[in-house]
Amino acid sequence: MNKETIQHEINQTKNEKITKEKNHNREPLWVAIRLSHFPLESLNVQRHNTNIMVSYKNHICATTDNLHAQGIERGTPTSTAQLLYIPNEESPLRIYERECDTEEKALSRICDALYNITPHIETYAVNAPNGCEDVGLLLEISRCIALFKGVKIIVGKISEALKTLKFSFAYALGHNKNIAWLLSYREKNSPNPTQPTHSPQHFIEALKPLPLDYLYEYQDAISQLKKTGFFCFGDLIFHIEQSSFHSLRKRFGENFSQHLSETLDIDNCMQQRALFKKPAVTYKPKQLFIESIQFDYPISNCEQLEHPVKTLLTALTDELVKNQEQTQNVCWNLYDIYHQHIIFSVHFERLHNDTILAQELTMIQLENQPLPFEVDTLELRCENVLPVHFENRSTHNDLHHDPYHNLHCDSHDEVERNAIAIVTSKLNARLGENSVLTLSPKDSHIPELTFTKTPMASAQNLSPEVPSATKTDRPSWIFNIPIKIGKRQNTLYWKGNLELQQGPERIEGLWWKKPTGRDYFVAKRDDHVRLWVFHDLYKNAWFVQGVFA
Amino acid sequence: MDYSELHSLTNYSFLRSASHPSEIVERAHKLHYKAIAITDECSLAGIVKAHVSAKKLGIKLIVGSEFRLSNGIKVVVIAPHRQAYAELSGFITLARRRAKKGSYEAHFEDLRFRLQSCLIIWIIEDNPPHEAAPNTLEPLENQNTVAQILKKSFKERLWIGISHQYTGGEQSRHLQWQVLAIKNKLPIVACGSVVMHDKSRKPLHDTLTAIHENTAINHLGTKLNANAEAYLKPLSQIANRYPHHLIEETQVINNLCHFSMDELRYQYPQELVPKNHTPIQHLTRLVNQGKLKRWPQGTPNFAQDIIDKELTLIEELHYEFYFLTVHDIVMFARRQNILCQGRGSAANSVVCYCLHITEISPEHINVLFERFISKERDEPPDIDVDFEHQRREEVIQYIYKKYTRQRAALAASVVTYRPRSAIRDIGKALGLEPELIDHLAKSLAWWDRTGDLMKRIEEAGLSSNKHLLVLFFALVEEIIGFPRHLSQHVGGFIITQDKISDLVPLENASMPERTIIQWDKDDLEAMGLLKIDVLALGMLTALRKTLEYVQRYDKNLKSIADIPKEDPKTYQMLSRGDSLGVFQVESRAQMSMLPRLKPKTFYDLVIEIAIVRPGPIQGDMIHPYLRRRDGIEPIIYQNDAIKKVLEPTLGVPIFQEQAIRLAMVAAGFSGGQADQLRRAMASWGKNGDLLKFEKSFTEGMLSNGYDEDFSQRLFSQIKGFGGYGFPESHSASFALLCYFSSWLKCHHPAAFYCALLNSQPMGFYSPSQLIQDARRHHVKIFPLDINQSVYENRIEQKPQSGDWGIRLGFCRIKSLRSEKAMTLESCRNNIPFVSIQDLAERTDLSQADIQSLASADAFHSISGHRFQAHWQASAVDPSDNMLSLDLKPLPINPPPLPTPQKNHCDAESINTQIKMTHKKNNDDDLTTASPTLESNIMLDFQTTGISLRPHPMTLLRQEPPFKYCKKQSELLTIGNGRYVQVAGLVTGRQRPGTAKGTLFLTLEDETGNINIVVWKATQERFRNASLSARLLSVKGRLETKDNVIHVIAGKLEDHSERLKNFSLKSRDFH
Repeated sequence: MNKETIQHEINQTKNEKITKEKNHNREPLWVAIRLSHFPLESLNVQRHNTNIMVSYKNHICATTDNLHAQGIERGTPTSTAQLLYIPNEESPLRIYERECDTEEKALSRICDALYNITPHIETYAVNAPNGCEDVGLLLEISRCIALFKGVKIIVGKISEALKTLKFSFAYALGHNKNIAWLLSYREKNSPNPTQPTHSPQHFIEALKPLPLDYLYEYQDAISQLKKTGFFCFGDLIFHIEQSSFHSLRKRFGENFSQHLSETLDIDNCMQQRALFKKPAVTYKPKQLFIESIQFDYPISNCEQLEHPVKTLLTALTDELVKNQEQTQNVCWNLYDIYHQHIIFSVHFERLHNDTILAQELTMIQLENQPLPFEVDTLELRCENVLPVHFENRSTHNDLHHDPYHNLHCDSHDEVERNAIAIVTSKLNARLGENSVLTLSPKDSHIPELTFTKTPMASAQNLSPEVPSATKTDRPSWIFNIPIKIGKRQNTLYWKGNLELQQGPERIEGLWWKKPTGRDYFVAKRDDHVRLWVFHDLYKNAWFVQGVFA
Repeated sequence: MDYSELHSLTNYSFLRSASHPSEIVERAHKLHYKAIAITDECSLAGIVKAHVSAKKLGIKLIVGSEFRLSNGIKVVVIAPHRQAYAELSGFITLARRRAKKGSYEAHFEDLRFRLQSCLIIWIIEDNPPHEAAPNTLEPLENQNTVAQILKKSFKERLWIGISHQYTGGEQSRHLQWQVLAIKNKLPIVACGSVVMHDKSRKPLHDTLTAIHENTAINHLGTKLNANAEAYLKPLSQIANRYPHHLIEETQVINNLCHFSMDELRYQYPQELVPKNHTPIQHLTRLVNQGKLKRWPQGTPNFAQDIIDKELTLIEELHYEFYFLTVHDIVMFARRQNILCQGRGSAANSVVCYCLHITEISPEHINVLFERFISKERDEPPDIDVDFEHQRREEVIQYIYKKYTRQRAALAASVVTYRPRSAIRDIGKALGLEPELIDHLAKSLAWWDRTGDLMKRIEEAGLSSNKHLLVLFFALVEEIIGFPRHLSQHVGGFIITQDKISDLVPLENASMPERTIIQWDKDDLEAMGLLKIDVLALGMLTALRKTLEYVQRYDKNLKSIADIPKEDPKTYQMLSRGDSLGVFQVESRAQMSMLPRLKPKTFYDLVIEIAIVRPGPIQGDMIHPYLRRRDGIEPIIYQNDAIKKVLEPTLGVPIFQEQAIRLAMVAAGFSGGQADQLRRAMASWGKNGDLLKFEKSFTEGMLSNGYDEDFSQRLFSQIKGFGGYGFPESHSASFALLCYFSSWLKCHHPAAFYCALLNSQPMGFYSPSQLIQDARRHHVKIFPLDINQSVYENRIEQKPQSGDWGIRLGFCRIKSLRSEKAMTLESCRNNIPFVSIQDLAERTDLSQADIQSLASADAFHSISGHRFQAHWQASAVDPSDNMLSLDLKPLPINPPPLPTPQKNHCDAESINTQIKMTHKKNNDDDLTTASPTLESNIMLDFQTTGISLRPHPMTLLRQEPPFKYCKKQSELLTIGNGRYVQVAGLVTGRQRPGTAKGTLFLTLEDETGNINIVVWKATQERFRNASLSARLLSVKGRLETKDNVIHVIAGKLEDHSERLKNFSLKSRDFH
């Protein structure tokens, strides 16, 4: 393809686009939002705070402005950053670890906020050569320009939304997402992106002074280009105009040239890409299940709520089954006509999608707390859902007709486990959150540390730690806190005289936390109960640790 | 009650024990044990250290080793006599050699068939580790089967070892084992399973376990020992814990053991002595032959006397084979034209000089044979021989071939914990945050060698549990010096007459096909085993290459022996401090000393090399020596005896030998005592041994009529340079190479610099700095050229003047694979490449290789500027001829490689041809501008590490603040103490231990190197600039003395951003 052809193509495209703009202004227009301090701000830390940095894989990925001013850049090894830091007694340095989950949630929050402006939102992340990730969003806004009466207002709304959410950002417009993203790296002296001209020529012109380094995905090609004297987009555009696009494709690969042609709107090889353009991605906000029932008359006792509860739970179950999802938590909101409201959640020990258990657990909780007002509206919310595991899938009918369907399991153990799970769920509902605890085994020599108590809802219960095999005999009942025992007539005494029978077994350790040294003995009480007692070598005192069955 | 501990591990069972061998032995002695067995896991690595300690204390040492067999059972094998020791050593070798480095694989069958006389203790474990014992034989019925098999195999040589450690259920299990023992008629013996000499080491032991398991200590749970009972207990406790007969049984085994490590007799390889000759006859014959060459006019009487004395002593101490072996290796190297030279104490031997092992004639220095071999000391001599570093492997292969791998192996080097590794491992084990560990490790090495780390932690904003940090520091201090693993010694070979594995176990080194013995150099010395150090020295390679290059135009200079002695021009050059690249005197400190010392003779060089050392610096010997040399201070000798010793160094003791001689002549020490003093000096700082000599030294001097003040002063001087003193013989060997390299630099600079470049890595300076220096010496450097360069840099004659310059070679291109670069010359085959496509077709270079050449500007003569070349290169497809340029075919009888004169025209015609070809394909033309000078310099550095274009400072000089800065060449004209501002690229950072925290920076500008001194306070103020700047401007005061110029920095400013793309790195020596 020679120079004239390219020039002709560009001119032609220009003319066509001007005409289109004049017609309906429906030529795609993208806003790229680059979240410049995202790892920091997603942790609810503002860039103007002092002496905070976020580290990821021992490298700094975000800092507050004052640390940046001290020469701590993104990508600096954390230890070097610590050396560069100028100590400040008033505000000591804090280093946070990057939290990818939190970032994901924050990004969803931003998307949700911007969804009010346009549904066409894409998230974008690219690895910069310094090892950090540049994160941002790409919004296609051409379809909503008319609605908001101009680009300027849209941009204003975007800024407002991001400021409300307390995120710093750089943004730019572009006739395609590539160019918009690249232009977001421009310095301040670049033309005002909100000015009325949104022609491709305008954007391409703006791109010219930008260094090629920002094409982070094509580092190899960029390195090769720099070795041949191409340093900014202007050099490339000039080359395409003067020489050929083909010469670049031949040297720097199909992927790179494809990206370049998309960015610069060059329809090379007669591909008619415009015809096969992918439609803009439509953002789908997270779907929550929120259903409510408004009563015709005020409800004053719990029994009256039973049927509405069932109705709402059935609706939820249908939704879950439809989406092949399950949940471990639901949340109930009760409102009166004056907008007073109470809220309580229902937790299941195991992931469930059957209505009856959820209903039972809800009613148990309602029984425990008399209604403080006459209920006008009952609302059910379900926010945390998980995909159903294949092996757990059950048919809809099973769920409806056999509330304890798991009882049909072949394995007796499984049946018992399920029965216990149901009982504990009921107990949890009756006694309240964190009242039902489970014991998880833990590997330690110190007896009281060989188990941990965790609330039933804790994730740890789902994957208990397996203790290492030990051959030593331990009493079946071990006290959480050893009980100090005294002496009577020179004999150990704890609810009776004790006689040491076997031992000692010496346990020493935990020197890094609380040095421990004990000599354990099996003692027989005068009522023939066998106890596990120890002599504390540090305190020089005797304790009883457990009782043998 | 008599008790012997039969199962104890030292920290040579890496990461399993928390005590040094000497600590175990000392503790056993203190507790009045009858004997102590050191039974490291499949290893005898700690046994020599234990033996030395046991011998010193007079406690019996039993030699053994612990094994976890592949069937899961654990045994301790004990060597009761010499033959059993050989069996044990052989068994360890077998187990170690069949597994990868650091592990072993021991099978029961091997144990049964190979250990015919060793004693076996079957160790009973409460909780054998599952991963280590896949076939652990449980329950007890199975153990009964094992007992039967073991009993059948080892009969009366088998015991069951029981350890009482207060673990849970121990008593009932012991009862079961007693039943089993009775049933199988097996004796039971008490075994402590000791892993620490004292129970206070429990935290360290747990930490080592965490390091071994590569996890934090609080995650280890029951993988940690339940208690701290695996230590050496007092006899009273032993008596309380074990039944009497179990304790008595330890004495039964003890009484069976008669082996002492002293029985190991080293036998030298004997094949070097011809039949019908005794070793001394053969050695004498070789010495006589050698002395005829050394002194063709006849051996001087004093030398003959020394030779006679040495030979007598060598015969008496039976060291003939050692000298013959070293001689044989050196002769091999000489036959292969590999430069080599003995150094160190061997240079004190005239026999070594006659055998051509060393090059220092007794006329050069005052040889002190006692320094080399002493009858009283009864320790083997130590001959270190340097070989060319690029050809040392040939020598090593010769040794393997001649003596076989069964008889030759490398000594081990014990890698021990140093502060940085200790901090990393302990920090991880204690679960400290990775950032904190990283910070501590880095700050310790660079800034806080003796600083308050706790303060630094707080300053860095790191918070951590204070209690944990206190433990952390205590553990770090404890673990420093602990062996971590065995590594390969740099070149210490052990060669024996019979199998080495009869003497010491062998194991695999990390290098393939290399084996190492389990003892390090200290062990070898303690055991009286002879080690031959086959060392590598870069300067020897450089010297050999220089001579080769010089041969191209001066046939008279064949070897270093042809280099004229005492050349005044060479000394003048050195007196100017012009010694960059010269052996041993190229450091900044040496360069500063040369103009003050102004060497005029060889002996001055010997002093120069020895005086710029921490010892003489700390002992404050430099200034008195220089003052006396300049006639400012009178030289006073107490008497003739002292004058004789100190006269060569103007009354100031500079060499170790002088300390020994002084002790002998003034304090009446014998040769052996004096040598002990030398050793104490060498370890001064590590222990207080030197102070033990203070009394005898001063008393000896007083009784010889010296006054107390003088004796005290002399001893404090000896103390002052203890630990870092340099022996005269060593210095003289180095001075010889220093002189040769100086002479070559002075008279054949092109060849010298070319050889230095081709011998990298070596020396203090980067290739770029060497080239800058070469250019300052008017050596023309020719750029890389696809049609002129070969793989290595080579000397080339300048077209106009006929002077010799250096043509850079393809080896300089960092990204070009060396095997490809080496083939370029043969592919070129004297026919120049006419285009990049031509190159692609005639070579098997990949596109990446061609691009590397283009990036390095190697195509400038055929493709124009480097952008153009890279553009063309990136379009070339070596496998596709379709893309080839339309050039006329090559002539069938190609013309010879063009001479430089002709080349210009040819390149021009080629360029024309290319341009014409390009005109046909203008849609493939490159449209970018040619590279700027700055980008060319940048790309030169990026691709080859050097640039022949103007120095970056030349470009920056036009801009502020650099235009206000003085150049290096202007500094001489500025008076001492004047204010000055300088700038340059940071090419070196040094922070020597003797400088009390002072940082020495070297800045390079377009005219030379500027020395900057940064005091500690200034460093603190400009921490970042002094730590990491690549381009600095410095404001300060000039300090000029004896033509040595320093700038004492007051303010530093980092301008590194101005060099954004220059890939220049400083060489930091922390």
